[in-house]
Parts: sequence; C-alpha cells; structure tokens
Amino acid sequence: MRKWIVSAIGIIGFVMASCSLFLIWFGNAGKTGYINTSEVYNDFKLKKELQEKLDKVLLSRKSILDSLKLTVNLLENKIENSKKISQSDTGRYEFLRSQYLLKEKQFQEDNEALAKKYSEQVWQQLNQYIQDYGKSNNYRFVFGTNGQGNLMYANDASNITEEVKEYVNRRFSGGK
Amino acid sequence: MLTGGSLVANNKIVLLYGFISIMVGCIKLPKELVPRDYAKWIENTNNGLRIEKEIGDYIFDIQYKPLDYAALLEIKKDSVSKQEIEKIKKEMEGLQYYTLKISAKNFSGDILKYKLNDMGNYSKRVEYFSFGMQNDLKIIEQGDTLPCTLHHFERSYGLSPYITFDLGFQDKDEKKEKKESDEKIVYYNDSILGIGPIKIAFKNKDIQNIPRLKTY
Repeated sequence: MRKWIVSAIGIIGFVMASCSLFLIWFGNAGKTGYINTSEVYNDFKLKKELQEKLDKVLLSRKSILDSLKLTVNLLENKIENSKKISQSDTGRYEFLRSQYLLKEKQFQEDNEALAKKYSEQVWQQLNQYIQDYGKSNNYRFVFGTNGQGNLMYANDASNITEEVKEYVNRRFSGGK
Repeated sequence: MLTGGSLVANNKIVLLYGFISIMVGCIKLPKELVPRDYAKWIENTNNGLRIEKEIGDYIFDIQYKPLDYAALLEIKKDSVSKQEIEKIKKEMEGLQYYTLKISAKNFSGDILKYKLNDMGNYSKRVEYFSFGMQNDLKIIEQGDTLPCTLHHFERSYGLSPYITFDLGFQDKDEKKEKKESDEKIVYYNDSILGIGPIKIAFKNKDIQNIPRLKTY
C-alpha cells in the first residue's frame, strides 16, 4: 500500500514538472514585442557616429560652395557697377558661375549618395542586432512601429524599445 | 579512548583541513597545456579569444593571438623547448597579433566575387584588401588608438570560402596597469563591403585567463 502511494506521488510530481517545463518553453517561444523604430535608430551609436561624419563632410562642402559663391557675387557686383564692362571679367564671371552650378549639383548628388550609404550601413547592422536580440530572447516576433498606424495597439508591457536600444548599442560596441 | 581534549583537537584539524580545501578550490591555479591542447584552447570560441560576428551577409571571425600562440604557429611542432619559444617571441615582441577571416553566409565560392556585378569592382576589392584595408583597422585600448602596422592578405584564389588577414598592431605600453574590466577593441571601418564600421571586443579577463604553454 505504502509502495503504491509513494509511486503515485512520484508519478504526479513528474507529470507536474513536465507540464511546467512545457508551459515555460512554449510560453517563452510565443513571446512578441514591439520597438519604436525611430527611437532605436536615432539612439543607435553607429547612426550617431556616421551622422557626425556626414555633418563634417556636408559642412566642408558647404564651405567650398559658399566661398565660390562669394567670389561669383563679388565679380557680379563689380561688373554691374563698372562703367565699362571688361571682356575678361565677363568671361571669368561666366566661367565661375558655371563652375559653381556644376559643383552645387555634384555636391548635392554626392551628399545624397553618402547619406544613403550611411543609412544602409546603419540598417544592416541594426537589423542584424535586432534579429539576434529576438533569437537570444526567444521572441517569435519583434514588431517595429513608427506611430503611423503600422501597429494599431500593443500593451505597454510588450514595448521592448529600451531593452533593444541597450542591446544593439552593446553589440555595436563589441559586447555580446 | 577519546577524551574531551582530543575531540576538540580533532575538530580543529577537520576545520583547518576544510578551510584549506575551500581556499584551494577558490584560488584559480593557472593551467599548463601541451602545445596541441594549448592551441585548441586559444582557438575555442568559448574562451573569448576567438570571436565571430555576423553583420548582414558577412561573418567576421577574429582570433587574438597571444605571443606564445603566435610563436607556436611559427615553430609548428608538437613539443617545444623554452629556448625555441623565447627566441621566436623576442623577434615578435612589440606588436599584438590577430588573424581575421571574412566569409559570406551560405556562400562557398570566392568571397571577392560575392554579389559583384563586374570585374572592375573585383579589382577594386583585391586592391582594397591588399593595401587600403590596413588604414581602416585599429585597436582601441584604454583610451588609446593603436594603428595596424602589419597587414598581410592571404589570397586563396577561391580555394577557400573565406579570406584571411594576418594583422599586427602596435602594442600597448605594458607598464600601464590593466584592469579585468578593460577591453581591446578591434575597430574595422569597412569601406568596401557596405557594412560600415564594426567593433569586436576582447576582454582582459579572458586574456588573463590564458593557460601556460608547457615547454621542456
């Protein structure tokens, strides 16, 4: 009789432990969360570093254009205010003006290309780290929201923006 | 026959023995490994001296090479004498050594041709990896930036699914005290694969945990 009771208790305990493990495993595997994509992007260290580099380049190019523009304007004023228009001044003015317009267009295209390149680099790394976060924390889905209707409602408890921000910046800095 | 006095003495001996056992267990005695096991230990990703990082399509596999290990790779023997190792180490002093391998996920061909549209870009890649890459590599350690002074691109001509670089960086001043929490960060500012700058950190506590190489 005693043996039967002990065996029964053992079996019940085993079944309860198995059920608990089952619930823990599948409960975690069904996790979903969401992040504020813009916030994660803007607070990402790589984005900040590349933004700084881009700003330096833009500033340097703007400085070149401003300097050229000033030269063109000064020459324009000189021509307008002189009683006798010099051929060489007019020729030089036309040349500098075309140079300015060409450089302005070239810099605009280069700036856009550089911004696009940096943005792609940021997203490539960010996507990788967010994916890794999802995998290592047993998420089934991690949604990205931008407040424009792509996720209509989610419980605040599912907002993992802060955790993901901390994780992606740690990963970018070389951590695990 | 056990008296009260002898019981107390026995208890004290037992307590002392227990205390010594606990202390011995707590103190991390440095291990000593024969060359083959030493190399395996260094190359094991669980020991923190070899780190893999995936970014997009690419996998970066970087191995920190302590001087003993780097010297061992030069000697290529199963047992080495202390004199042999010390001689090679002396020649290699002053730099810190790493091996970097770059491969692409689910791709076994020549990585220099991975996602390439024309041969012009292939030449650019070869040129960059042969010469330009050195300027994009550095070590950041205790606030200092250490340049890459040794850069060797091992071309495999498509025979292996990765490309390998042997790297040497200026070594940090050994006199400055290193804390366990300090890190060596390998910084690669990529300008050819489209992934941007990446950082891979080696912790000092993992470097301090390296076992000794057994020599005869």
